[in-house]
Formats: sequence, C-alpha cells, structure tokens
Amino acid sequence: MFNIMLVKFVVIYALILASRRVEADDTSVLPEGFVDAAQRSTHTNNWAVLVDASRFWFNYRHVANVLSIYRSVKRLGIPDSQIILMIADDMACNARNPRPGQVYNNANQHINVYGDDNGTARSKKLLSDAGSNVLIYLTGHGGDGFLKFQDSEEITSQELADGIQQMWEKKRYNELFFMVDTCQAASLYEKFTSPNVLAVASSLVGEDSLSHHVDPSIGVYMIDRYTYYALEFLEKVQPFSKRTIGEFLQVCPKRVCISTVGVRKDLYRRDPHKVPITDFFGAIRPTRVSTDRINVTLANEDDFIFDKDKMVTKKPFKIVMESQFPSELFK
Amino acid sequence: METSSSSPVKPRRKDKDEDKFRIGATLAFIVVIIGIGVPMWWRTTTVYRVNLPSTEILSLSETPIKTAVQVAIYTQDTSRGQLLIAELQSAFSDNEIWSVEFKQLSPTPKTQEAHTPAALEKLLLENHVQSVGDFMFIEWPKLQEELLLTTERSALMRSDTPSNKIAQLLHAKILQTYRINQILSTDERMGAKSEAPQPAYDVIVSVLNPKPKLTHAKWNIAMAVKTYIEPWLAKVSGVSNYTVRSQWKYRVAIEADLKQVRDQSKLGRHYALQETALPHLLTSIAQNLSASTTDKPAINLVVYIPPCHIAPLHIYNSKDQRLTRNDVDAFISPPWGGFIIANPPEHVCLSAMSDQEAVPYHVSTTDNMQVMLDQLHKLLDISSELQMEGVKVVDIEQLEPRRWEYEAYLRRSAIRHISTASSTLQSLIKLLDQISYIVIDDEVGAAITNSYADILAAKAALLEHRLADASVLAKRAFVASERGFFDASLLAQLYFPDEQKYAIYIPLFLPIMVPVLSSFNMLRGVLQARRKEKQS
Repeated sequence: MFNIMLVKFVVIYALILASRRVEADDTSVLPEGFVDAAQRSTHTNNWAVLVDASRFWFNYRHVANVLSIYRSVKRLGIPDSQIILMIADDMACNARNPRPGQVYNNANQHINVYGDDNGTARSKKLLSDAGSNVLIYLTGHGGDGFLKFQDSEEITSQELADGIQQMWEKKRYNELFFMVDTCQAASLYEKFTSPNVLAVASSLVGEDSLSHHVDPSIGVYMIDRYTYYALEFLEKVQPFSKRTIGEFLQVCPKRVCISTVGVRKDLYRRDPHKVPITDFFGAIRPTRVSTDRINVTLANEDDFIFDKDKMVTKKPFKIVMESQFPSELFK
Repeated sequence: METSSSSPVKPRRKDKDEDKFRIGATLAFIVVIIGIGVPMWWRTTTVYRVNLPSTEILSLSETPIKTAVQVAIYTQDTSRGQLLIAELQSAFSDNEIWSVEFKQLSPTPKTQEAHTPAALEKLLLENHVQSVGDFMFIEWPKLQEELLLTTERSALMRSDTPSNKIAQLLHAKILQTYRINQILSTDERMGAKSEAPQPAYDVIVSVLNPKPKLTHAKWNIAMAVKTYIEPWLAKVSGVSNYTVRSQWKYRVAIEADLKQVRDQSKLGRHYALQETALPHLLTSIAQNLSASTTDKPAINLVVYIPPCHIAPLHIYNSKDQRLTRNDVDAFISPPWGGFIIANPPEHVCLSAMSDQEAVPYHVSTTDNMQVMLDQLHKLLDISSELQMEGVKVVDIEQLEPRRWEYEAYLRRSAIRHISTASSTLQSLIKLLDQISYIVIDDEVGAAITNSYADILAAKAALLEHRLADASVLAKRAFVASERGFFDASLLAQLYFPDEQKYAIYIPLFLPIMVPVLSSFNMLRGVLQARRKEKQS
C-alpha cells in the first residue's frame, strides 16, 4: 500500500514538473507566432453526444440537465443531425408531470429546456471525422469509476477511456470536451490517455454532486447544481461571443456547487483561456463564396420547360355515391 | 506382517465384484467431466478469433507508398530536351513519394511541320502511348505564357521555360505533392481534416421556392439534372458511386438578417446577405432537405429562389463589398454541399411589387447548371484551384473534368484509401491486443485479410505504374477495412470479461468437481492395493 502511494506521489510530482516546464517553454522560448498558431482552433465541424443515463420520475433533474445542454448547443448552432441525444425516460410526457410537454430548469419555470421543436437526427451514429470537435456530456448516477445506465448496466471509466482511444486511433475527433455531472464524476476521466481531451467533472472522487432545488409543485429536484450554473453561463453566450472555455470551467465555484469541480487538462494542448467556448458548444461550417461556372451548354432553354400539352392530365371522372344504408326497404 | 497389511483391505474384499463397477463409474465421471466438460467450458467461453496477419499489418507503414509516373517531354531541339530531363531527374532523384520517369520525345520531320498544338499532340501520341496518370510537356514556341495546361494529359511550354518551373508545376498541379504530404502526415495538426472519399454518395438537388403563390417559378429540374449532373457524375464515378435525386421544396424559409441596400435598378433596392450568416443559413434549411432518408453521406445542391419581397438577394462580405461575380451569387460548404441564389428576373418582381398577379417565369437552366457543375468540381475536390504565375489553364468546355485533374484525383484518392485502410487495420490490431474480449469471426477475419492483401496489391500497382488498377484495389481495401473495423459482431462479447468466466462457471463446476477430484484419491488407493496384490 505504501509503495503504491509512493509511486503515485512520484508520478504526480513528475507530472507537475513536466507541465511547469511546458508552460515555461510555451511562453519564453518559442516565437509568438508559433504559440498563436498552436492556440488556433483547427476543427471543421462540431458534434455533441448528450447522455442521460437514468430513468424514472425522481430523476427528473437528470433529464433537465441533459436538455439544458441540448438547448444550449442547439441555440449556438449545432444542427440536430450532429447531436446525439440519449434520454432514458420521457419526463415531459410523464403522467406525474403537472406541466405536460415541458421540462423546466427551476421552480419559477424560468426556462423550458424541453423546447418547441425537437427534430430527429439522421442516424444515431457519431459520424465525426478528423476535423470534428466533439462534446460529450454524461449525467446520471455514478460511483467511483462507473456510471449507472438505467439501473441495469453500467459504463466504467476504463470503457470510456477505451472508447475514446478507439476514436482517436480511427481519427474520429480533432478535440474532445468531456463533461460529466454525476457523483464522484472525476473518476470517469481518470483513465483517459488519448490526446486533445479536455475533461470537466462536477465533483471529485469521494464527493457527491448535489441537486439544486426542489419544485414543490412537481415534488422532485429540478436540476443538478453544476449544470444549473453551467446553463446560467451558457444562456449568456451568443454565437459570436468571446467567452472562453477557461471561463466556463470556473462556472461553479465550491461555494455554490458545494462539490469541487474537477478539471483535467494535461491531455489538452491549448490554453483553455484562449479557446472560445463556441469551439465546442457552437458549430462551424466552413463556407466559401464560389462564383465560377463551367461553360458548357448542352441544350436550349426551351427543352427544360414543361410542355403543358404533353403533360398527362387526369381524365375527368364522375363520382357516384353508393348508398350506405338500404333505407328504401323501410319505406 | 501379512495379517496386518491385509486387515484394512479385508472388508473391501467382500464386495470385490462391486469394486470393478465403482472404478468404472469413477472413470466415466472423470472422462465426462475432465475429458469433455472442461474442454467444452473452455471452448465455449473463449473469445473466438480468426488468425490474422497481425505482425504483417503492423509493419505495413514501414514500406512507404510510392507512386510511379511517366512524364514525356517533347522539344524541337534535342539537346534542350536532354538538358531539361537531366535537370528534372536530379530534382526528383531522392523523392520519397514519387518515382518519376522522364522520357524524351525526339522531333521528326512530321512533328516539325505541325501547325496547331492539337495536331502536334495527336502526332506525338501516335508513337508514344500514355497510360492513366501520365503526363506530357510539348514545346510550342509561339506560346504567350510560360506553361499552358490543356484539358488532356499535356501542357504546352515555351522554348525558354526553365526546368524548375516545370518541376514546380508538376508538384503543385499534376502530382499535388503538398496534398499527398497532408494525407501521409502523421501529425494531426498538419494532416488532412477531410474524410477519405466514401464508396457511395447521394446527390440531392433541391429547388427551394418559399412562396410558391407569389413566385411562379417553373423549371423542369429533373430534366436539367439528367442532362447536366448525371452525365458528369458518370464520368467521375471511378472512386465513388453517385445516386442523384431532385426535388422541389416549398415554404422552406431561410433564417438570416437581410439588409436593404439602395441601388440604381428599376426596383431601386436589393438585399444584402452577410457572408458570416451563411453557416447559420445552411443550418436553418438543412432540416428540411430530407437528406436523412438514407445512410449514405449526402451532397446537397440547393437552388434558392428568393421571394420578391427580399429579391434580388446578393452576398456581401464583412467589409461591405458585394461578392457577386458574373451575375452569380453562390457559395459552397464542403462536404455539405453548395447553395445558389437564383434571383427572379426584374420584371417578375416589378409586377409583384405593384400588386399585380404573379407572372410565371422559367428558371434559367444553363445559368444554374453551369454554376452547379463548378460547385461539384470543388465539392468532390477534383478541381485544382492553386494559381501559379506564368501558368494558364485551358477552360473546361466539355461535360467532364480536365483529364489531368481527374487523374490526380484518382491518384490522391488511391493514396488516401491505402493510408486510411492501413491505419484502420493497424488501430484494429492494436485494439485487439489491448482488449482481449473482442470477437473476430470468419467474416470479419476475411474482410481484414482481404483488405491487407488489397493494400499490398494497390501499393504494388502504384509502384508499377498501373494507376487504374491501384485505384480499384485501394477502394476495395478501404471498404473492407471499414467493414472490419465497424462490424457489430466485434462487440458481441464486450460485456463478457474474463472474470465472468470464472465467477459464474466456477460455482457451477465446483460442486461437481469435488467428488470427482476426491475419487482420484479412492482410485489411487485401489490401484495401489492391486499393485501390492500382484507383488505379493
């Protein structure tokens, strides 16, 4: 036991040393232009995977959590075709919901996170590529090293790390922002080894993540603390705003969250304070005005006009009503 | 001595006949449990894995992808040709990607008399056979530019064009070395961000008319697509297959802030669409284009007819400059697709503004299809847009891309497919090492082995100057490797780790194993007794 502690201590110390040295390199030795280039975003599209892993009415708050993030990414421009939203239960249509068709983030019904239009995505596949920035948001009930999936399965931190490593090997992301709001959330990102991953968790190992408040008319907790403050921050972000991920990582200080928000940035090579939040929560589509043409003419314009005489018109027809009831028999 | 040793065995002697059965039964149990049960348990719980050429696949990246190209040079003066070739050969001598073979075409009395470049090219091709991917430089002294790229596999050059200019053109336009470097780069910041060409695409041509009651636009879009888009796509389907659909969509409005701008036209104003708003505009219409009906990646080509109250619509950049050129307002967003604004003619909107009945009109096919064809060139990444000083490119005048452009695209796609397939197979092998419970069934195993064989064959074909074969093989290798990597059967036993094997089966086996193992003891006793009996 003592040995393991010692090894851990040495490793952590080495990591701290290493990170300090990199910081020193970044600012002093390298030319400014290079540092700027390394900080620039290099993605070409955005994807979001939003997962609520728990069902049942008393987990209303988890649905509110995931819908809050869904609402934000959609508002900031990620199209439904690039969002994978997994909700285990339909709280909006639950018989115990006094406000059917609506899910709120707080008791004053401030924001209906359920929204008005919910489209369906093309497929449930994460069709990201080497230029994709992927946002992964998980919420539910977790423990040290796992997240429960609907009371029957669980996903372990090792499985998550394997999955992300597999994505990296197959060049399925450019950068990945991993956000998790569960108890002991930080344990879920501990096993990550893949590069370009920035992770934030609502609580450290050994801590519980707490819910924000109860709505007496609904009778359950509305939303979790971390996501509540995250949504509060995201609501102020506009598609072209200059807010950074660095600011977003500090949305929930310990005095409001009660749990300690864990951040892991040793795998991430850019400085979060220089990364716009829209790199992950917004969407970009590179567009380019193109006004050239290929000068080929194959036919006269007349050939593409619908000829009314040639159109097959329906023959006029007569409608005959069959009698529905033999009323003449009773006359 | 005798009495003491025989005394414990004595009671057994009574049922010595039964002893035989007891031993027989014990042996039967042992055979069933250990001979059949244990191997069966082991077999049924082991993760099925076909033998794969793992070490060979992992060493795939050791042999670099090298492509052979033949470049012929025709000069009127033989010594100039020799000099050019010597200089070019030294420029390409230690290249890691290309093995370029330069061939000199010497002048003949016939070629000296040729009056047009086309006639000269024809004459030269009578004696010199070009295969797919080859190229030829023809000297033509009267040329204005240093180099003129034709639509075939050739370029004309002036008599004083230096060899480094030719090498530059080869790298930039014909071989596209910088893009190949992007594909082969292992650094993810430098590497290509786009996807490898997929085996099949849906091309969806949509005409958006948000106000059909007010804008009476008529157009036989199906016919236009059949005349222009389908034949063109048929010409470029060497790498991917395309399925084309066309549709009219009504009442699909775009979401964008439009600004009115005064101008000198009869309408007295037009509307400005900011360039920065274009991505959002695409997001707002993407939902309604029904690109979601298939699983194939889609290329959307949209013709948008603005209703008269916001027409004519033009794109402006952030410096408030109008970006309309040649009467075209259009943009592309690779790989999503292209967007063309087809403003209704002025007279239509004039009558609409004066509250008269909507005037029916026909959307111009030539205008829109010409722009759409250019957009397709760019979206499929066939056109080479790099500009070079002193180099001119002949305009396309037929319904197919320039041959050298298309063959560069074939070559690039082949290299792309080979490198993607190699890295896919390699990462799969690494994953198999790391995660022991991934199943590889016969089908997936065959896909992986075939893909590996095709990669080798495609590499060989590239090196042996057979681009057409290499393209086919590389595509097959790519498709097979993707199928192998993403096959659902890989995960069949993902929730069946090794612990489960022991945790679940041991409690099941242990109660049976205890009597079987203890019967070993009994068996040994009996055997010892027998031996002693024999000895005595």
